[in-house]
Amino acid sequence: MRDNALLLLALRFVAAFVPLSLVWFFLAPAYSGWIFTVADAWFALDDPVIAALAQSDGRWFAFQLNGQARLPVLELDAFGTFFNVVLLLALMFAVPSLSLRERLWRAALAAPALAALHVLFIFVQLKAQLINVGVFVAPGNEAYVYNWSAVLLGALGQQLLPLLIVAGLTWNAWRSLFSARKGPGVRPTAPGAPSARKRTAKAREFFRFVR
Amino acid sequence: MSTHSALLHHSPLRIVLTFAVTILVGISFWLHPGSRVLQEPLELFLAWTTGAFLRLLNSGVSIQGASVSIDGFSANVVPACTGLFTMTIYAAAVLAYPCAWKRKLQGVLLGISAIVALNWVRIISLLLIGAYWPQVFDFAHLVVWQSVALVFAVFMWLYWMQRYAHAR
Repeated sequence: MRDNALLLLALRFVAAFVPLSLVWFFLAPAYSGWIFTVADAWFALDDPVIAALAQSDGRWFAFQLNGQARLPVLELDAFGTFFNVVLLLALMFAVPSLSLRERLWRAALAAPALAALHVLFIFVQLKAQLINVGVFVAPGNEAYVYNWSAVLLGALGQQLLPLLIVAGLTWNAWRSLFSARKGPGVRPTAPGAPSARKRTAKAREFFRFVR
Repeated sequence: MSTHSALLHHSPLRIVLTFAVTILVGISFWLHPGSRVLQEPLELFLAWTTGAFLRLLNSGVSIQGASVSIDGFSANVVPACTGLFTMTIYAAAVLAYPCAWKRKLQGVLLGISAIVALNWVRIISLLLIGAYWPQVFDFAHLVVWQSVALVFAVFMWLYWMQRYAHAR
């Protein structure tokens, strides 16, 4: 990968991330509503003591916990928690060497996987409150899930998961890009490395695409 | 060995396992109360340096411990603000990548320095946003900057991998 290809990658990410972040303001209530409907249906089957409350403003969602939980109601910031959808889509757009069609079907695979993880995230948070798992229980009396573990999940899970999903689904695209690198410090005839002709062809293919 | 052949000639399972185990060990370490000995000085250092920089721009800046105030807006530098998670993810990716240990050490130092620098920019921008544009503070703090920090770490990793990982 050449440095200008890396810069191009960054620019493509920014070009997707900025408009998608703005779109998220309009998309978030609908997406969050759908996630909470699924989560509520699951909780009703699995654990009837958890019930989703009506949404207030499309951003904050509240769950009622009727069991042994210290707090009867737990709130979750859906807008921020599910923002990694934007990260996933922007990363999918930034990946080099893929046609629009390939991007779209990969995004169609990745988005439901992330949505399922969102439902699982809510489930883990609420279950942990019910059985009082120390690091998950919100400090003080506030019902907002913003404790050390929430920060950890926020920092790791919320951002790392989309990255891993995109990396897993587009691994070959990255590999073809790496193989196109030509520069100092690399032996062009390394064992198992593709021939110079193949690497040049792949580089041409990439730069034709990014043009 | 080129990046391509390095990836081809090493077990993907080994790479993924090294990445996952390093993250788990790193995060467990940072979650352990004992690690506060390292976190607290870092929080104070970040608060002091960002506050000192902002003082150059605005005389209404005050620093008290890990708390920085600017024109009535006050923010605490807490563990999540230190960039330790991002650094851990980056370091895990560098350590998992198949290359010489010397290059890995170089990559960790290069990336962590860059992440610390980005974190300064992040804290300074958040303090300014909190003071002058408070309505978008939460969005910038909890949403945008978290994504940007991780993507920055990914770009740093790609840069190191291509530029330094197999350099002689």
